[in-house]
Amino acid sequence: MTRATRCAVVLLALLLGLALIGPWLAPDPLDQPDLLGGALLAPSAAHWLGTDQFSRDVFARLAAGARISLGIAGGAIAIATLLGTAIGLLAGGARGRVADGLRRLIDLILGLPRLVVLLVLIAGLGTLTPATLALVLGATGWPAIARLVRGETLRLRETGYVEAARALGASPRRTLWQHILPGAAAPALVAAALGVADVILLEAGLSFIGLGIQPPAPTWGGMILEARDHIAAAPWLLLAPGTALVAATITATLLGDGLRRRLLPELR
Amino acid sequence: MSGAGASVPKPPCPAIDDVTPWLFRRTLDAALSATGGILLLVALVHLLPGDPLAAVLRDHPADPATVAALRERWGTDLSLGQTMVRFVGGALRGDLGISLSAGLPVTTLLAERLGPTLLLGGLTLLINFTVGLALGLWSALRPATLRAHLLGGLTMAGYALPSFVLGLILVWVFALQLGWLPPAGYSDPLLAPDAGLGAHLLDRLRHLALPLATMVLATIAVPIRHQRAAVAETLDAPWVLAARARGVAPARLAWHHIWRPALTPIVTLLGLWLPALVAGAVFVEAVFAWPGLGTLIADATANRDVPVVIGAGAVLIIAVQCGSLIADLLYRLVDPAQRRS
Repeated sequence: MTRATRCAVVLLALLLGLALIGPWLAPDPLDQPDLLGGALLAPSAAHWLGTDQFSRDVFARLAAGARISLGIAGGAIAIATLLGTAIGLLAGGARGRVADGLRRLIDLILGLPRLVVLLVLIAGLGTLTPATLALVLGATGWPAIARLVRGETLRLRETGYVEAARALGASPRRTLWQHILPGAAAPALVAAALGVADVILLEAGLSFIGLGIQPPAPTWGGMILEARDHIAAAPWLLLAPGTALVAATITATLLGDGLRRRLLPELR
Repeated sequence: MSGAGASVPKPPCPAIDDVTPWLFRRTLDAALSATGGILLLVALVHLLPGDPLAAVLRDHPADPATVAALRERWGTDLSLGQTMVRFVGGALRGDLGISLSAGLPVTTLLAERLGPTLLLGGLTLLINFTVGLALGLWSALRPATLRAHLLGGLTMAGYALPSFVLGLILVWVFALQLGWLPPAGYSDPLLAPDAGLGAHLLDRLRHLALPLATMVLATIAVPIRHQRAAVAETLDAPWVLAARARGVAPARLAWHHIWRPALTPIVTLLGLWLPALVAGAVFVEAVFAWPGLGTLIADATANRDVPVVIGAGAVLIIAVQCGSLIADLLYRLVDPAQRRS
């Protein structure tokens, strides 16, 4: 494990700690304003990260936002990885029209800017819950993983051990599941890990332009949007969610790199 | 620059005309990808459960005859096939439908918003691929200096900070604390229309400065890092050693022997990287209330104004496809080996 990966593990522990036990450490319950204390307070012992324009504790919102933002990112990546691996295996394992059609579909979607597809889906769906947002982010994330898995499947299909399995009479399905999937899983996992940062940033960006999970639910992107209107009076409102966002994306990127070094050492 | 190389015999160059069939095929390919992508989006919206007119009808209840007329106008109860035919037929006549929220033709809205986005995106691209490449070349040639480390830190910061956080930090420093630049907007509404070209130009530049700085800082790390890596690789090439042994001057060595071969990977990067510019445009335009396609598509999404979302999305998709076409063309110009295939 390199020093960077160790840093990332510590950061990950901090972020998960914030999400899991943070809400209990906050002085006020979520969304209960400290009316006596006041709005837009600077960080202090009573409010570690200050209060926002509605006198709500920023730390409590940051911790609750970590649950929502990291939860959505985790869900989206799980969906994208499952879909991408399944479709990639099928596209690489099948022959003829199915394989051709899937390859074209993957290339077609990868040629579109992901944000445009996301906005079209959101415009069509209307209101979003955390579950639908994770679904939409996952549904736009699978083609990158599918292309990788497809290429890996095509490569593994020609290797000696797969040929040997086929010669021993393994069915195409068994060959794909037992012999190709374990080999194609490592690059899929690495691609998934490296995609986490993108998903976190997209979710925060959508909330920032008012299209993600709607207030009063706390999200990091939404907190940055609210901080924007009070940035002259209370610049620290930007600092807390901004730092959390940067920490999360750096953690995801470093862990993804670490995973790549561990699982795919030949790619160095 | 080419004057200095006049004494060196040029390598034989393949005929120029062999690019035409390739260009034709590649253009057709780009057009098919863009059309397929846009139609995919139209089909997706159609297949999703929501009713785009529901929000309008909730805010403005109407009698059944009006509702029927509205449904007819926006084609909300057509089948998938009818919707596609209607969209393609309209698009061929230059008609992308009518905005649900503004009541104006989508093409009118797009025409209004295209200029600001092209201005911001085009300048970002220009700076990234001039200043960015120069900085990448420079930092690869002298890797161990303090300034190169500083540059590395700066690009990493741009890499890690989301563009909208970076934009807000710049607004806080340069607009609110220092008061040098306007915090948002496209032009000063109080500036008299007859104030003269110079005053208008200055005003536009002042409004452009912060969004452009945000876009550049958020994206320039990619070309710098790629150029740096590519240059570092060509530094070890045998022809560089040979040229150095012949006593070629450092400036000429950097320009002719190192930079030209290191350009190839950057040109491929240009094509891959345009979708990222689209995302940047949406978020950065939102920070600065820049009246471009990014704010148009974001506002339309919030209003569930599907025709505008599809229209603005289509323009962005076509822009990305054109960009990758140009990148492929440049790739052939830069890398002679590509011309043979």
